[in-house]
Amino acid sequence: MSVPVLETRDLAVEFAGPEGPVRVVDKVSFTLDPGEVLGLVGESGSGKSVTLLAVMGLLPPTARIVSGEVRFLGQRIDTADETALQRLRGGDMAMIFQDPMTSLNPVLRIGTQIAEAIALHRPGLGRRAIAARVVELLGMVGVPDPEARSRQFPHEFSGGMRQRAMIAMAIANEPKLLIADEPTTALDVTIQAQVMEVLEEVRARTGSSMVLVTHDLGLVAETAQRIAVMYAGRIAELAPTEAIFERPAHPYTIGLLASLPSLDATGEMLASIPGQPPDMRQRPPGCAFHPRCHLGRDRTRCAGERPVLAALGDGRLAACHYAREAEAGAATAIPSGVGVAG
Amino acid sequence: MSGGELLRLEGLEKHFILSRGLGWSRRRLRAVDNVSFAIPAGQTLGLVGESGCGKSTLGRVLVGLIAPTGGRILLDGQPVSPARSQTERRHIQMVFQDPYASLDPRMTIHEVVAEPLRINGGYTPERVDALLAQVGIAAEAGRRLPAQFSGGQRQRIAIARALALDPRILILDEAVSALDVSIQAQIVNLLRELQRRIGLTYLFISHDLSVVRHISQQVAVMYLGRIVEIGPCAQALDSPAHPYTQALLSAAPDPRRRGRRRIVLAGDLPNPLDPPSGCVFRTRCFKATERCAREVPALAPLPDGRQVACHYAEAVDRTRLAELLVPLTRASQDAGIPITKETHKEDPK
Repeated sequence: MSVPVLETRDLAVEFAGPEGPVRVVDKVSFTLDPGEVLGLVGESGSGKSVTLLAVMGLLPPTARIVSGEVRFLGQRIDTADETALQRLRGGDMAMIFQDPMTSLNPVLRIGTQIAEAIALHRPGLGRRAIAARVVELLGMVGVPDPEARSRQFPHEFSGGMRQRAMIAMAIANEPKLLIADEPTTALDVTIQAQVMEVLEEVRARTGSSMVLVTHDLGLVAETAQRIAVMYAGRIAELAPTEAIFERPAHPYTIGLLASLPSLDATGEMLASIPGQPPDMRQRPPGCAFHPRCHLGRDRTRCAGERPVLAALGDGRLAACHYAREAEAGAATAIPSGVGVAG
Repeated sequence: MSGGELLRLEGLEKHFILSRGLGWSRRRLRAVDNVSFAIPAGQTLGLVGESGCGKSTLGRVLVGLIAPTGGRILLDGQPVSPARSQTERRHIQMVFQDPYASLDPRMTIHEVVAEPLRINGGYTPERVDALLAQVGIAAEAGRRLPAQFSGGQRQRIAIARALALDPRILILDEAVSALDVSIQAQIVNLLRELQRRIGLTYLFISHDLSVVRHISQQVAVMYLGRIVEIGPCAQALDSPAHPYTQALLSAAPDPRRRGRRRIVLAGDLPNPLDPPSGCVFRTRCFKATERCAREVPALAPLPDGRQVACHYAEAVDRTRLAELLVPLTRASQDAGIPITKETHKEDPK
């Protein structure tokens, strides 16, 4: 087995709060193999974005990594200094953010911004070569008439085109790792389909690995090889994509899938998970999901003992004391039609 | 419960006249253009479309926040007057998308729900408690401020407020779009339960076809201010006939239908100030011909009754949309536009 592109082990992040530190990422471990796409799914506040900010060394000043480690191609990067990280970011490790309007500089031409990303990491390259590379990159992500459009400003680009420009910038230095944080959430479905297609195409061409962070289970289902489902700062389940949808083993994953409205199942009430996600300042003891769980609600073990992410075979991992029981019950909980290609 | 039609729109339009910076030239933005449909009492019409298609403007016109520039709105067969009477206002209420922006942060939620009752008369604390109970919020929680509630609970409060005046119609403008999936399911269920219990009629505005399918009997698809397809969900969403509806359904990611091929439309939404000639969708359409540039397609019924505005309308079963791609692939390769792809490819390297 080759060295994973990215590896986190027991990563924990805390934010400073008025009543003491709040742990928003709690012992998160995963690996990303070369060429692999890992989906990181969870609802708002589940810690998925903070996990990746920690990986990139971009945590806000109020947050810090309190334990665990992050390795990029085998090297520790959580302890690396800022200079080393700067060399990495935008070079071997690039990020695509959700909102291309706020992540592009409104007063600089699109071409200038992409050129900057190239020049920073390849100081020897001449201006002409950089300009040619910018046009090549814009063409690669499907921006029509790339030469003219590289001289335009972000406001002259539509939302979908801006996100393409962001992708061009991210792949400028052929990164080994792409981190995409809700890359299409702000876009309409028809534009989302275009952008995902471009992203997948350039990713395949450069051979990058990718972590795709999203709340949209449909989106990861079509892109990722493996999916990690996060809840309350922890990974609840991590498994190959097919298995997540066909044999989910964590009650939270099962609940999420059941509450997804489908074009096929209509008429009945949607299954829903009772209650709300917990306040991170008062995370329930034991399993954080147990107060909302149909299995764990009344079981003392769930309230008292935190389940570890344990292997179930076939590369599937779930953090549930009763994963086998949940898995067996899932067949009846999720509407039919799951996993059938149309 | 579902009786005759409660709400009818006839040729409703809202055009905005924009004056440009220099000179006297004026331009017309047809935000809502000749929209007609009817909703039977106790039923739901889903209104879908992408940003800028005019669906929210239509909702605002219906609730009386902006005045239409043409057409009529009929409530129970009676035309609604442009300057609405108090009863006409009461009958149509609205729930907005963002539960963080639509509740006054300095009012207790009891006051939030009480406000319409105080303005229109009929306030009693018990009435407010009952409204809150109806949406699953305890009366004691009424003393708290909106900041102490989560998004899903805030949306419940917004629904309680909209119900305060016993409306007959609720306009739900992306009312569940900002919520996480597990919470979204709770609110969708609540809306369905309220509809069954009180006999409410909904206009459910959304960009999410799956949610619309769950809550609506009929669906209308809008593109650039016009309705391009309208009919029962079982027809329009299960065997869409307009190329735009087909593309929307094909593009929507759905974990239950992984590994399928999808139609990816080329290009962006055209500038609404400068719409294409003929059919407004033709610039992105995979079926477009010369005829589409010349003739505006009228919204015409298909044999099954649903209406479609396309010269080449043809109902295709939703599970067989990928088959539309076969002749397409060739055409798109000639034009150099990537239209198709196999999703869920094997790992390339």
